[in-house]
Amino acid sequence: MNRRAVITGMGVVSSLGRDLDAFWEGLIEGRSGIDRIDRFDPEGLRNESAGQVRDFHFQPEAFGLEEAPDLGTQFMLVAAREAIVRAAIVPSAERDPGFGGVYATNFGGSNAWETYVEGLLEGQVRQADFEEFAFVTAAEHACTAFGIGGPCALLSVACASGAAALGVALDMIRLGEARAVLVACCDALAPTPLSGLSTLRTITDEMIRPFSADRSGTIFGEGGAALVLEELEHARRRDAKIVCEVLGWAENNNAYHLTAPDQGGAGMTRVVREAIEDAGVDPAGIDYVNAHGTGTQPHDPAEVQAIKAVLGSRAREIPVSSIKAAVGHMMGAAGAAEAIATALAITEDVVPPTLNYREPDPECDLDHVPNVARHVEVRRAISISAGIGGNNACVVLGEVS
Amino acid sequence: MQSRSDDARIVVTGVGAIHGLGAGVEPLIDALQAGERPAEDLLAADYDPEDFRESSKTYMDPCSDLALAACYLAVRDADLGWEGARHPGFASERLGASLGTAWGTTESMLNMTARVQQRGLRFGSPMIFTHSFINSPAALISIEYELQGANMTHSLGDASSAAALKYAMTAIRTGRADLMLAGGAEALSKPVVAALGDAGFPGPIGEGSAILVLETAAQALERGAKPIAELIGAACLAPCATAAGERALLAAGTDCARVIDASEACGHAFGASVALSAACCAVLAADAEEPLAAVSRDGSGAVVFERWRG
Repeated sequence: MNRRAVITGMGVVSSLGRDLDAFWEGLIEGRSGIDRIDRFDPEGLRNESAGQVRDFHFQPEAFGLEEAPDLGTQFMLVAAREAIVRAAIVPSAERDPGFGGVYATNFGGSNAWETYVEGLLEGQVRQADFEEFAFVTAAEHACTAFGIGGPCALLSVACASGAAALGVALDMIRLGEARAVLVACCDALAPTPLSGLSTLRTITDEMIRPFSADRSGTIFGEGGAALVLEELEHARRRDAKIVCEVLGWAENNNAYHLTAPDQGGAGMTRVVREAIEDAGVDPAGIDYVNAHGTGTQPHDPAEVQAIKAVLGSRAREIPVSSIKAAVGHMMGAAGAAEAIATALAITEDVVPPTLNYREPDPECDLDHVPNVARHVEVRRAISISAGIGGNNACVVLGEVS
Repeated sequence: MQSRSDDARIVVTGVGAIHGLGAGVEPLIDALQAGERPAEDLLAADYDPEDFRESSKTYMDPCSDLALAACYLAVRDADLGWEGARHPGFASERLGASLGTAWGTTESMLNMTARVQQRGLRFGSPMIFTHSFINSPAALISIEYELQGANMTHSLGDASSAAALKYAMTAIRTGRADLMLAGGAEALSKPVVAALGDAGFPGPIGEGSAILVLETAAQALERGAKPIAELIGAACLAPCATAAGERALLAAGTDCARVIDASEACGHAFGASVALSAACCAVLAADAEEPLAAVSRDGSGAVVFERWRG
């Protein structure tokens, strides 16, 4: 368990743009990618806006494919390729047994599913659409495209998926199962999930305002987020550019209710505590919290309680921001995109702001970095995620000592 | 393996299964030993989910029903002394669930999407939607038994439950959990059956769920439980990488194992297939000299068990 894991490459496709630079520059400049959905008719949703990826043109042949896969998988493949190119890592074989893959998505091939059901309801069965919906298909495409032949996992723990995927990859490195692991997560906007999230009233009918007293719900987004995690000594030997270290993680379940938060954010409190313990760091040494911060009435105060419970007085001294008002809640990719934002906060010593913040809330009384990015030294930081089903996950990142 | 301490050894102390031949692992083993193969696809239709619940439910997806039924049987088989969500002697935050499923909750997904497509986006059902998340069966297990520790859902095709068992093994071995309910569940919903039929999938196919109670040997012995078998290795590789068997054997520190395939008895149950085979392995290991393995049809996931030798 003495092996350490570092991030050596990252890639993002989001409503802020089609690569990592567009994502980070957009976050730091305080821009939002949230706008009216135009890929399908959003009429009937509580909010017709979302963080939709725009001007995205997928080239199947660049990934050895004859046809374009489901849209979510397209986002994943493009983000993964960017992460791998940035990491400058080359598989040792057509299927490299030392190169692992951990993938995550909430809804699988959600657009292919819509097409499949459309056919089914008309009495036509189109097996190819079903295959593109199947969760495993994204893993197959990515493993084949990038020469991954090592340990593999495809997880789905709702909106905690992305953070958990990074943790599972960390375990693979620690246990010596792989020397490098691609973590790639995605979800695309599609009518059925949005209808469900809208009728659940998770979505605001106004605007997403995390931690603001006048918040009334979240707004969803889409995209892909990918990281290359690598065993530290392996990265050093090949002189890779190291972004930061993944120090620890934890995941759990509230075991309370599929959608309602548990009392006082108890599950989130445990997951943050366990992640920091797993990292072997002092809570007083945490410099930044990238919060889940969905902007729903019940979630944000529960998360603030959890942060206070674990970090104690340190919670009031450090920035705690949410990027969801910038890119929308990226569902299965959220945790990975937020881990990337956290990693960049460490390398750049800038924390992204919480956009659309208007009114202080006595229940969310931490430094939520309202509306404008801030320069601050960040050596160690945590990113928190939570999802429907009561799943929670937390990752701890830090400078390589 | 014998050099490992009891803290690092992971044992099976209970198994539960539900499938086209009925409830329990015994019908599977009887059919395997008699060489009886199903003549056609086998649905787990002849069971009442109400008989396997700890609490009342308003709505359940068939996949969640199967998963909860297998848990109900496994928890009793392990003689844990749990009464629903009450588990004296165990710390909730040290208990977890890990479930594999290839297709998940597609029956509820179809209901949800049909409403949306036929009536409009404002008519999705929040209740059906909540139960249509692929992680909802595993989440419902954690809610039913108040397992506040690790909780994971794996969807990796035929290897799904191999991934779930490996995850549970890692969670215990790395000290994240003391006990995990781990396995797989697959329901043959209308959209799944239609797609497989269109693809001309070679049958017979089946559905069901199998759950194994996994814990450290030290804890099992301390609570006076008798381990059924030891889980000695697991591997899950990239889809279509066929070397998982070798890798699992390597992890297990052994070089050969007899493969047990429950699909010969109850039809191929996709994401639950490795878990159903694993449940048979665990029971059969008591009388087996050699290690027993459950391997996914595509060869990308495998788990290896051995007789508990104390």
